[in-house]
Amino acid sequence: MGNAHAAHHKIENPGSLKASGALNGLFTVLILVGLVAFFYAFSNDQVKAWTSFLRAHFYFMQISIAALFFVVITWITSSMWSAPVRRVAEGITAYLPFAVVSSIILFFGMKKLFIWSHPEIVAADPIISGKQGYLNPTFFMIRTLVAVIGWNLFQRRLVGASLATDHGADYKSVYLSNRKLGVVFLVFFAITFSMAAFDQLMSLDPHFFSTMFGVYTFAGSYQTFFATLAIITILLKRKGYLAKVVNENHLHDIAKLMFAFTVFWAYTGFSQYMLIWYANLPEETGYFITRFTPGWEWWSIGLFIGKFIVPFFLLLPRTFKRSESAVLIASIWILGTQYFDLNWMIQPQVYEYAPSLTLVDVSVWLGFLGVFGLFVTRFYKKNNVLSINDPYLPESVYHHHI
Amino acid sequence: MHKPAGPTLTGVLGFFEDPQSLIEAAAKVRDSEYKQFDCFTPYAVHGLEHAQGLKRSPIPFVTGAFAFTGTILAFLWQYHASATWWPHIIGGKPMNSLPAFVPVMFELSVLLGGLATFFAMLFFNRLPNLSKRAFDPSLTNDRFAIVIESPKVDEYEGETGESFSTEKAEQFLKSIGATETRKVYEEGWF
Repeated sequence: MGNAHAAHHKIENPGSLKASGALNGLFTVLILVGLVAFFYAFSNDQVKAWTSFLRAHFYFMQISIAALFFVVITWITSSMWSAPVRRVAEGITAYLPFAVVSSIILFFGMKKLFIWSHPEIVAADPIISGKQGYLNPTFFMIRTLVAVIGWNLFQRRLVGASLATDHGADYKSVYLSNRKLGVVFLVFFAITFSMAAFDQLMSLDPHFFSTMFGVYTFAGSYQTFFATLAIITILLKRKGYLAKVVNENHLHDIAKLMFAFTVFWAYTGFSQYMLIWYANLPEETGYFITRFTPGWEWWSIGLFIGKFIVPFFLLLPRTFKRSESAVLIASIWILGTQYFDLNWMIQPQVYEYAPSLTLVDVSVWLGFLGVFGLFVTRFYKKNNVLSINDPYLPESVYHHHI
Repeated sequence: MHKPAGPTLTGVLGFFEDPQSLIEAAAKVRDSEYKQFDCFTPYAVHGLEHAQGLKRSPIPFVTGAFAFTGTILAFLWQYHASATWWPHIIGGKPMNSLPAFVPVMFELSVLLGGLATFFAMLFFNRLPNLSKRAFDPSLTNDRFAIVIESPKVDEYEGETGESFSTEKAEQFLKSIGATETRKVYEEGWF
């Protein structure tokens, strides 16, 4: 309807999430399952334990940092459509403090995961010796900590300022300062996130290098973040918290971005593959030769179909993008395929001949899901689930696509 | 019924002062006996397409069909060029090298999809149309209008047995909030 009436519309504050203790109980059970699985694997097969850990650690870290990236983009572009869901995305960033903890735990598994952390292997290998100035345990830990602690500092400032507007802080000054700080964050994010992808995923094969690797990882992260955002938004809407402010046009926008980054993921993935295939340089092709030998070949093809072709057609029709159940199905599918993508990046370096997915892998991921759930729901329980004083909110409630 | 002398009457135009009253009026015309009508606004008015009862544009489906045709054509063309018509081994790659074909497949999808969108837009908008002119300069500035078109005489009599009454249509437009009404005549080019 006409925007002329929007200015006079008073939006009811849905308040904070009122969830029963059962939800916390469920998350605690998931964490216990993850812990048991991790220690079971740790006592039997440490490589199994640490690959599962790295995969789950990176999975949730990338979602929460991509959420902060999205929040910053909405501040910088002063976007109107996202006003009802910005607080939902801010809630997803609440997981970031745990990323520091999981990064530190990861340091203990360095020897099992990264061959460049063994001095005798480095000494025997002239290529890795040449990279020793960058790929050594001390510098790895410094880089990882600078990245996650830096993200947390930005998160505290940016999200904290946004939360202060609920309690009377001047919106305009918050907006101006978040815009400025947001630009600084984007530069920091571009460098540190690429480094995190290079260090924690690409350096598993220290002979291989690809300048596309950072953007490839980012594309998958952002796509997965939009799937997470869609799921939480739909759940909050169904529970009545966002029922009056989020309509199918907001859902349409989230689904469009999810679609866009599905295509962007395929674009970066293919660009990386095609250039290496064309140039045919021995130090680069090893990565893909491992992934295209029988055992991993079907996984690579399945990843392309599962993470690009299927969501492409799931999210292409307009009616699907505007339907809650269709977006839910597509989002859950994308969350699943991201797990397969990370596995495709991590496991072939360790399990060269065939993928190894067992109950342990799933359980460790469930454990991290429990932590993620605890942190995110705690944020929604402590704060309003809607940024109620956002001046764009009244206009956004009437958001509408022709 | 004989065709009256002079310019042909094509419809009745009703002016509205704000988008809200236009949307409300359009919904009333949609539910009335007048089936051929259109709205004119100086800018995009949200919600008008529902009030008018417009169906979804067929253009995206044309784009999709042509884009996928482009993908397949580009593959077939490259495959035959490099593997069956002039088989050559280049750079030690297989003759049927799908990764090398993909950029062209993508580009041809974009090209055919884009051109098809443009021509489909012209086709469904019945453009270029040189015989119709703007009804009133204010419609590109600050006013809104609904045009009720008079059906072709034969069709109209065939359906209801009544002829189109401009007075009735003008009264109807006034009753739903038009501030001014006007008859519209077909104009030739020049």
